[in-house]
Amino acid sequence: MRAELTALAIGAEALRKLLFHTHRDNHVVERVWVFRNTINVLLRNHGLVTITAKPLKASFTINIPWIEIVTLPNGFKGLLNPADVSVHIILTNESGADLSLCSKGNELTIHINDAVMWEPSYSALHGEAAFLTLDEVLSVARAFGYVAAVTDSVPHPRILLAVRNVIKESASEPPTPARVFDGLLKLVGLGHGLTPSADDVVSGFAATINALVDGGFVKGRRLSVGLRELTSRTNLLSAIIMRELITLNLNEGIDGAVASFTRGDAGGMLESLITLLSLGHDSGGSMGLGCLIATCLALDADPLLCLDAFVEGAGLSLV
Amino acid sequence: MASSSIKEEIEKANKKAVERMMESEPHWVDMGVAGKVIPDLKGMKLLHAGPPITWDRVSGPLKGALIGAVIYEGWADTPERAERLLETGEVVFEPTHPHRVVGPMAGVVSPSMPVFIFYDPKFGNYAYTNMNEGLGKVLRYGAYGKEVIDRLKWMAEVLYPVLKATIDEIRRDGKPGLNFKNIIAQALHMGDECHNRYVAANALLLKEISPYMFSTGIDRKDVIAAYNFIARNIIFPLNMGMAAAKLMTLAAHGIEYSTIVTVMTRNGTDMGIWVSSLGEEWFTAPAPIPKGVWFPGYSEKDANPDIGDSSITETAGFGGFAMAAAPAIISYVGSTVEFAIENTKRMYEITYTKHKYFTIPYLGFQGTPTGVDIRKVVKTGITPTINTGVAHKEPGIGQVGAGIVQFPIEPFKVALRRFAQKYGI
Repeated sequence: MRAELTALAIGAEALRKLLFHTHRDNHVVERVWVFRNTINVLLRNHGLVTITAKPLKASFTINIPWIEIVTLPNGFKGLLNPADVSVHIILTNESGADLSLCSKGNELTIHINDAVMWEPSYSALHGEAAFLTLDEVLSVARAFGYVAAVTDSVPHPRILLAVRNVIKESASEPPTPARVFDGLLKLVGLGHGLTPSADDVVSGFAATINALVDGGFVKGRRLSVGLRELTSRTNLLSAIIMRELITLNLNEGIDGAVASFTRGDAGGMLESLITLLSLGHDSGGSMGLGCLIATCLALDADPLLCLDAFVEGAGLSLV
Repeated sequence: MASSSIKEEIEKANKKAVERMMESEPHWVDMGVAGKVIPDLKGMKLLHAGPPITWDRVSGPLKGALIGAVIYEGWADTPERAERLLETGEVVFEPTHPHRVVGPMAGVVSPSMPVFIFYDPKFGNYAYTNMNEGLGKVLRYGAYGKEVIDRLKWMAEVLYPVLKATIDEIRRDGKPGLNFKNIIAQALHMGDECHNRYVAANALLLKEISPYMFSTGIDRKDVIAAYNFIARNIIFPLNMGMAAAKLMTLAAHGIEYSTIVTVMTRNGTDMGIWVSSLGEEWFTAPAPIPKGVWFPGYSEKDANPDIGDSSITETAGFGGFAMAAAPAIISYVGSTVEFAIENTKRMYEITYTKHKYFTIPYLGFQGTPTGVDIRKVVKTGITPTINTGVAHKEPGIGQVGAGIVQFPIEPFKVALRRFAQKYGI
């Protein structure tokens, strides 16, 4: 059965990674799959190509053995003129075998042959918990804040302040993951970017809690939120990505940090969080912050401590 | 420190580091015997390319080169005895970079080997490198047969005195030495990228030194033999280009708050980097295997992981980063012209600036990407991509191909973590 899906946007970051890393035969695309109206491309050694909202700034050359460029707007095979590339793509899936990417508003068409349809799998954490201590988590939060600052990945102070206020409000009673999550959900849609910063904080927070719940490290039920509720607050693409992160369908980025946290490996946790920084503009910084807040809660500590350590590390003042 | 101040400090430091890198004036000023001129190269000690390594983890080509150097020095008369001396620690081996030395591939330098002496009058630094043996079965690729040792001895007995007399003549002519930055800048306009392709640079080098070489008063037969050796070895200036790059990156090293990479190197097992503000601390990861073109009879399964100090050229803003200047390199390293151009463009995303003096005609004489910034590597997920020769994984065989290699991201992440520890928390 032929399915035609309209994707929302593919940003410069995603396009750059997709095109550059598939230039060479030792950077092959391992899996391509369609999920709802998004395209997901897993590159060997380079993880998941995600979608961002940055405008295109440079030209890209395509040289992928199994991606055939049918026509291009500038008539030069293999060379994309950024001015001609619309941010919109149409994604067509034919019987799970071939995919086509077409730009909307111009003539670009790319056929991807032998694409493998793939649903991301999730494996829960197992083993004995040897959580980091609160001091260690705070130290990771400070270091991560610093690294996020020097790589321009810190969410805007307005977002940080809003997150702080929400946590503070939800802590009038003993803070629980569900209570903090409910508070954070009020911020969905706040910030700039295709995935607004607050969305990333919420995703990082909920993905971490859910991974810990699945592993039996935190008591309670998984956090969840309906797509309808999310789309009432943020754009559709961000809502879909949030939902996939929260349900742990797309949790590659958070996995390492959570696993290190449960193993008591502070260095590993920081390194995993640093890996997130290549996502979007400040998406990685925001998701990492959400993850850190969640780990504080898992330790029955005040989550504000983690936020404040991150802010301190970033050299910011929220006063 | 406030976020804006952190970034300002880093920006100021990186500007200074890269400015010094570009303004460095590396000159070939002299020749000498390694054990006499290189600081702390005494006794039964050898230097090797890349980060530190222990004998049990030494790769085949490095093992072969170390064995060859022990034989060359006369510390052992068979490979087995040489290996025993290395294994027991009677012969010590250390990385080149802390000694201000660079060497391609295995990069092994032993005390009695002649070396080029480079000096940067602008910043007062010295750097050293060995003489290039040519292609094929050579010590730097791990070969240590009789022909390899004989060639090294000829280089010490014939080539070295000619080059020593030549540089003496150049200085006698009132020049401070041979300005190698000029040669690199010109060669980039003549189809070299100055890592794996030095065809133009070799012609420029010979043009500069020949008049002096032939007026040294040394036996004409030896001078002609030396001239022919250099002329027939199209990669001869590589070591000199690397010493020049070492001086450029040395000028950028040791700047507080700077996140600029000042060493990228490999030993055939690990690759490692230094960062300007983090002293001589190594940040390492397993060295990747280059993707390349294989000499007849060889394939990827024969290849050793990446090896050599030669990526100091990219660290200084040329070599693989300037591939767009050298379309002819493609047939050697096995890629496409489009890739060469794309790679140079891509490297702009992880570097601080465009070089003032090294420019690329095809890109409208834009400067080459200069000053790898660990922050940009982590933020973009793009890592330095270079071209390189490939050694056989077994000792004693030599070069089996050439190709492209992309460095792993881990050392850059760990370095950023350490940077945060030093300055942030």
